[in-house]
Order: sequence, then C-alpha cells, then structure tokens
Amino acid sequence: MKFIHLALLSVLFFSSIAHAEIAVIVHPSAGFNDLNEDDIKRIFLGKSKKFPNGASTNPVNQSEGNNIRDQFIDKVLQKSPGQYRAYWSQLIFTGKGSPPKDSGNSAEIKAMVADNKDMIGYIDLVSVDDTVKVVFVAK
Amino acid sequence: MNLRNFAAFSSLIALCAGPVQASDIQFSGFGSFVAGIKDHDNSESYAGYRSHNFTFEPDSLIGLQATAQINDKVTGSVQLVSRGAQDWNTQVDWAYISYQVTDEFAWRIGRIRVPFFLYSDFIAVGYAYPWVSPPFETYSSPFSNLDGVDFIYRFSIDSVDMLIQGYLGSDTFTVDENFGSIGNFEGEVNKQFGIVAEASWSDFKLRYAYHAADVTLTPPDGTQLAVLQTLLATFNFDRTLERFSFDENYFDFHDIALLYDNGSVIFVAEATTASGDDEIPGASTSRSYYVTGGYRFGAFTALLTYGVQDDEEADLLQELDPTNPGFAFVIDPASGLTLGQAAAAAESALAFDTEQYTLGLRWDFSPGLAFKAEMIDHTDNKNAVNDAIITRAGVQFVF
Repeated sequence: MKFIHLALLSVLFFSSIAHAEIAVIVHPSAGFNDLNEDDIKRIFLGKSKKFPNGASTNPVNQSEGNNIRDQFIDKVLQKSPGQYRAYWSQLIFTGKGSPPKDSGNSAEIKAMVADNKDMIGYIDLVSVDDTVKVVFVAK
Repeated sequence: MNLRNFAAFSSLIALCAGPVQASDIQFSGFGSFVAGIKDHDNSESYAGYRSHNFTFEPDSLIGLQATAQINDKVTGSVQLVSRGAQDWNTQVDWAYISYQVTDEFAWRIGRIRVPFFLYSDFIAVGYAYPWVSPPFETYSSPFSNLDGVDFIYRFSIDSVDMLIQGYLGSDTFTVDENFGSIGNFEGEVNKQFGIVAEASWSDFKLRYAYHAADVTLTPPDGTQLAVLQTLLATFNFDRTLERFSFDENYFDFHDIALLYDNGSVIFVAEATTASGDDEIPGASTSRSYYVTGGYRFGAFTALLTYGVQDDEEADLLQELDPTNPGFAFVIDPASGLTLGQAAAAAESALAFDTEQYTLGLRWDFSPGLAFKAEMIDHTDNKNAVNDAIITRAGVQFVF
C-alpha cells in the first residue's frame, strides 16, 4: 500500500514538473514574431543555420541538469536524452556540426538572448520579460 | 611528408600553439566493448568472427577526438582510434583543418573518412547508430579513409534541409583477412572523388552518393592469385588476366539510402552497387542492400535486419579459349586442377552470394552509454560450410 502511495505521489510530482511551460525566445529586434515547432527543431538539431526569414541564427542550450532542458529536448525536439546524445554524436565525430552551447539556466539564457541579435534560446515561461521576444510556447 | 602526416602535424601545431587557449580545445571520445562468438570454428570469417571462442577483437575500439577553434572560421581536428581488430594499434581516422567560409559552406583539407555509406562517417561510433555495427553485407569496404580535400554545403528549400558533400583524394591501404578470402595484400586508391547529396524533411532522410576511383591491388608473390596471374600471362589469356590484375582498376559506386525515425519507429533501407572496368575485388558487379525496422519502447529498442550481398560473376569457362593449350594446363597434379578450372573457381570465390537476418536489442540505460545485444544468422548461398550464427553483446558509449 505504501508503495502504491509513493508511486502515486511521484506521478503527481513528475506531472507537475512536466507542466512547466517553455518559452522559445529571441532578441526583441528579430524581424519575425513566430516560429513553428519544425523551424525550432531544425535550428536546434543543426539542420538549418538560418531563421526562416534568412537571418543567421545562434542557438543556445540550457546546461545539463536543468529540468527545462530535458523538457525542451523531449517536447520540442521529440527525443529522449539518449537519442539526443546519439544524434549529435553523428555530427560531432564527423566534423559536421556541434550542438548548441550549454549556457546556463533560464535567467542566464534570457540575459544572453537579450544581448545578442542572432541568438535563440528557451526558458521557463514565468521568467519571460520584455527584454526578449517569445516566438513559441511549448506546453 | 605526405598529406596525412601534414594534416595531423598541422592539427597538432594548431592544438599546441600559444594563442589557442586550453578552453578552445574540446576533447570528446567514444568506445565499444563488445564480446561475440561464432557458433562453430571456420576458417572463413564473417564480420570478423571466425571461431567458437568469445572474442572482444572484431567489435571493440576506443576513440579520442580533439578539436581546436583556431579562429572564428578555422578549426583543427584530430581523431585517433584504437581497434581490437588491429591489435589495438592507434590509427588516425580523421585529421583536418576546416575553413568555414560562410554559415553554409566549409572546406576541409586533411585525412577524412570516405562517405561511402549512410553510416560510414561515424562507423566507429557505435553509440550513434542502432546496431552493434551496420549490416556487414553492405558495410564492407577494403578501404575507408583518404587524404585529400572536401567541401560541405548546407542549404534549405522550404522545409527540406539539404547537405551536399564533395571530395577528392587518394590513399594506400592493406586489405585484411576479414575482407573475404583474397585477403592480406597492399592496395592503393588514386584519383578518388565522390559526391553525396542528403535531403532531410521532417522525420525522413534520403541520401544518394556516387564515388569513383582508380584502385590498384597487388597480391604478394606466391599467393594463389599471384600464381594465377603469372599463368594467365604465360598463356596469353589477356582478357582474363585483366580481370584478375586490379591494376588501376577504375571503379564506380552508387549508394542510396532512406531513413525514417520519428522517435519511436525507426526504418532504414540502403542499397549499393559497385562495378569496375576489370573486376571489383569481388566480382564484375557487386550489389548489396539491407532493410532494418525497429521499435522503441522506453529505453529499449528492438531491431530486425535483413541484408543481402549478391555479386554478378563472369562465366570464365565460357570466356577462356578452350583451344588454347593453357586451358587444360594442369596446375595442381594432385587434384588434376586445370588453369581454366582454377580461373573459374577464383572468379567464383571472389563473388559473394550471402544473406543475413539480425535480431537486435539496444538498451539506453544512461545518456551516453548503451548496451546492445545481437544475434546474426548468416547464410552463404554458394558455400553452406560458411553459414554461421554470430552472437554478440556489449556496451557502446560517447563522452
């Protein structure tokens, strides 16, 4: 019985974490207001080096250990942590690309994106303010 | 100093040079420790396995890569790999300087892997693909690297992302005993060039590659092949000699592959055809294909593969002139084997007709580390003695 309670509790706990909303953010001066999930996937998987409007892009990741990172990889990139690692191994060891740089937590990513016109990152939706522009929200 | 040494040397200089800060050098690595066994002893190896003893050699390796950002546009990279199959000798798999001209376009000069197949660029990185190693019927090539130049160009058309790679180079290599029965002699590939086009859309990837080269293979004196060459020359069987001479043999190679991976279902199909103006080391035309289907449930992926190699072989008994005294010349008095029969047998031995089924399981038990287990049922349609079942399991990782 205790075990079942514990299991139920952990399900509730994890589902509440899984409910955090993730905002994909760019510099406020970016010449577009929306990106779709496919655009974001292609940019964060290194398949596309440009925003759909043709401007250069520089994606940044949250560092490992941040829950938002795992959720972004799961919900937006639709990969497990292992699949994400395997995918980038194909590029890292062939000189064909390197993954978006690990650049800290939501506050740090927000400050970087606010300072760099070509940057794109993702943060907890509750951390958003007017220093950055939200172009996609993953629920 | 050949180009390989030059590239390794320049990359090392780049890595050690003063202005490059330690923080600009990235080290990464990969490895495989896999044990396997064949169901019975047999002189003919399959996928590197030849005896009913557990061995780590064919599928175990460790690799280390150092990449230095020299400036905004220039990168130097070296990848060293030690393979159990080569007595753990360390080889330079990659060593190049890359010049990123624009976001989309880069030149590289140095030692690179030949992008023959869908998975050949990262064939040493088992963690990056579903199997312990890709299907052997397709992924067996007597050489895999070259010294030269290449370019990589990426662009997008609507939601289709394209990658074009072109290369030019040369290499010397040793054909080892794992590459069929003709094994263990020196080879040289010159004027090799190729072009690869990859289109990715949503969960699909389509890839086509074309490669061409002049290949020279020189069997050492005293081997059956060398004896055959001498006898064919003695009796003026010029055309047949040409087939077995592999001297600046121009060959061309096509590869087409389709990959679908939506995170839970994976499907891969790849087909190759290689033909030469004399013979491919193998046959007039060598063909192979495989299909793999897999399903992921949680951290586990179950995989089923079917693969075929079906080479076209010339009928040498038809081709050789029976009125030439050489045709009935007995080369082995004990068995009464004639030159005509020996040539036909050699042609047949060089052409493969094999297939395999593989059942595999991948368990991603920690990011960066996967456990894999496989059972391969290999059938040799020309020589049932070579049929084998290989069982192998182990870990593959990246760091």
